[in-house]
Parts: sequence; C-alpha cells; structure tokens
Amino acid sequence: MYYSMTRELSEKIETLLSDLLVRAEADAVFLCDRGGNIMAQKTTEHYVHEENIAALAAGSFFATRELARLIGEPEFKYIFHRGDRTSIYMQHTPLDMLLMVVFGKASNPGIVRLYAEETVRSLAPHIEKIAGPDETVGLNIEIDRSQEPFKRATEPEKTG
Amino acid sequence: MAFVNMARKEIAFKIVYYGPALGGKTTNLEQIHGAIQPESRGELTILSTRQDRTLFFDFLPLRSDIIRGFSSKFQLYTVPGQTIYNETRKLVLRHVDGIVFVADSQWEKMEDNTLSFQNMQDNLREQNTSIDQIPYALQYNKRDLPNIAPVHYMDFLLNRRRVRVPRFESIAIECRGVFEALNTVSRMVLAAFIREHRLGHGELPEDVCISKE
Repeated sequence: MYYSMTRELSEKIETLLSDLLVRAEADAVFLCDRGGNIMAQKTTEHYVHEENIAALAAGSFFATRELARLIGEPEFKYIFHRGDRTSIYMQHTPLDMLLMVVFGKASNPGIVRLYAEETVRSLAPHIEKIAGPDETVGLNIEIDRSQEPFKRATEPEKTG
Repeated sequence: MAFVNMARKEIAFKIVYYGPALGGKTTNLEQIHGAIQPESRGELTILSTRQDRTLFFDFLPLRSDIIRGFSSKFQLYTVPGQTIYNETRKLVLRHVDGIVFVADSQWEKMEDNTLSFQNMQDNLREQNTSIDQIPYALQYNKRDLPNIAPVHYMDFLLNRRRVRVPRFESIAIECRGVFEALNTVSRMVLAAFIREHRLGHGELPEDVCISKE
C-alpha cells in the first residue's frame, strides 16, 4: 500500500494551505501523514530541518492518542505548543493526517484555530483522494542498478 | 507506507531500526550521518535521556537518486529499546516499509534479542501486518567484543524462518556492517514496492531477497 498524490491534487491542496497561511498570518503550514512525511507545505519562513520538524510533530501528536485513551477520550482534536516567539498548532485531518501551523507574534492561537478548522473542512474531500495505488498516476519505476542507494563520503580502509 | 508525490517527483519510504536496549540502533544512525555523502543526509535528531537511552525515537532523513527521475527519501527511525516504551515502539512502527533488526552479539544478550524480536512480531501483528510482509535484515552487532555468540547460533535464534533474510556482522561504533545493512534493506524495500504494485518493467533488482510467506 502507498499514498499517491497527482499534480492536480497537490495544486488544490497547496492552494488551500496558501489561503490558510495568509489568513492566519502564519509562518508555515504543513500537511503531513502520521509517519511525518510532508504531503504539502506553504511557508514564508525557510526551515532547514522541516523533515525533522514534521517527524517530531507527527510523533508527538499521535503519541497523545494513547494519553487521550487513558482519560477516556478517543483522541485530542488539536494541540498547541506555545513558545515565547513562535508557536505550533496541530490538528487531526481525515486519512489520519496532520495539519500543522507554525506562527509567530503576528498571529494568535484563536485566529489560527478558527482558520485551521475551516481549512481542514475544505481539505477533507481532497485528502480523501490521497490514496493509492491510483491508476491515473501511471507510475513507472526504474531502479538505477549501477549504484548503491547510499554511499559513504569516503570508503573505509580495508583491514585484515 | 510509501508516499508518492507526483508534483514533486518524490517517493518516501520509512525504515525502522528495531532491537533490544543498548544494542546499537542509535549508533547506526550516528555512523550513517557521520559517514554518508553530505548531499544525501538531513539533520539527525536524537531524543535521549541523560543516560543516553533513547526516549522517544531518533530520526535521520536521507535522500537517494536510486530511482531514475525521482528523488527518493528514506526516513530512518530508531525505536526505544527499553521494555517500558512499547507504546512508542508501536507508534514508530506504524506504516513501516522496512526494518533493520539490530541484535547484540554478547552471550548475555541473547534472551533480550529474542524477546525484542518477538515483541516486534507482536507489534506488527497488532497493526494487521506481519514480519513476513515487511522487508527486513538482521545486523549482529558488537562483533568486536570478546564474549560473543557465534553467527550460526544467532541465526538459529533469529533467522530460522522459512525464508532466510540477509544478515550482517557489524561493529556499528566503527561503521562496519552499517552501510551494508542500510543499502540491502533499502533495495529490499524498493523491490517490494515495485512487486506489490506491479510498477516499472516488472523486474526486480538483482541480489535482493524478500521474506514473504
């Protein structure tokens, strides 16, 4: 099983994320799966380690599901991490995905939550199309057999 | 579960390093991060306690151009080995595409190895999958220590399923056997992805062994 997203679907989702970015006056908006894969993103700030941010956010968000269960809740719908300068809002979406909004002092949690909830409703029919295998994708995979997937910067010294 | 983004021409896979506590899972990621070509690596995130025990997970994103026309992303995770963190292990295992099981070769760790391997099977079963459906390789680590079990004994404990999987002797702290395991599992993951979805030209990469009942 794998997820797939066509170019057309990607553009529709990114348009909705752009709207959220502007209206919520956020620094960045990510849509990621529970494994921390970034499905789509829109940012005004450049984050060098965005893959790490997504992986940690997804891990921490979905870890709270067990916490919710222990207090008799099926899940927490959203989570805030509030910082002095920058904060993070995370909300669950269909297909077990996560909408994450990074915002600074230009915005506030109430505004972010309002627009994020609206965006999740708009995203829902599109997210449900992220599924695979999608025959329209016409994926053709060709492996480069002349090389290993990963190489060392320098080969180790031979011993013995 | 792999993710294909046609707009970005990206394919992402998840590889998890599993095994008993203090077996060398984090060391594998540290060595890969330190030795790999810089253009292939992202930032290494390590979430450990003051005693250098993995608390949540470690994470290292890698990029490869092994698939022509696509950027292949391999996201490497470790699980916390300590018994009490089983919920975290289940979380990290979700949607896994491939596993490197890092076993500790010391005689006194054989029970920990088998318990951890059994725990991995149980956790996969809870997620409606099984070790027979996930490409994996074994890494027998710490082969430089004096009190180690012979490879054939570790095979007897960990590699006696109907289909034998690739296994590597390693000294992770010296980066020996680390890239061999990573590259083999990565190729197994690619082969499984192609086979399961009948993609590409219907051919599998050579020298690839996949455990499948």
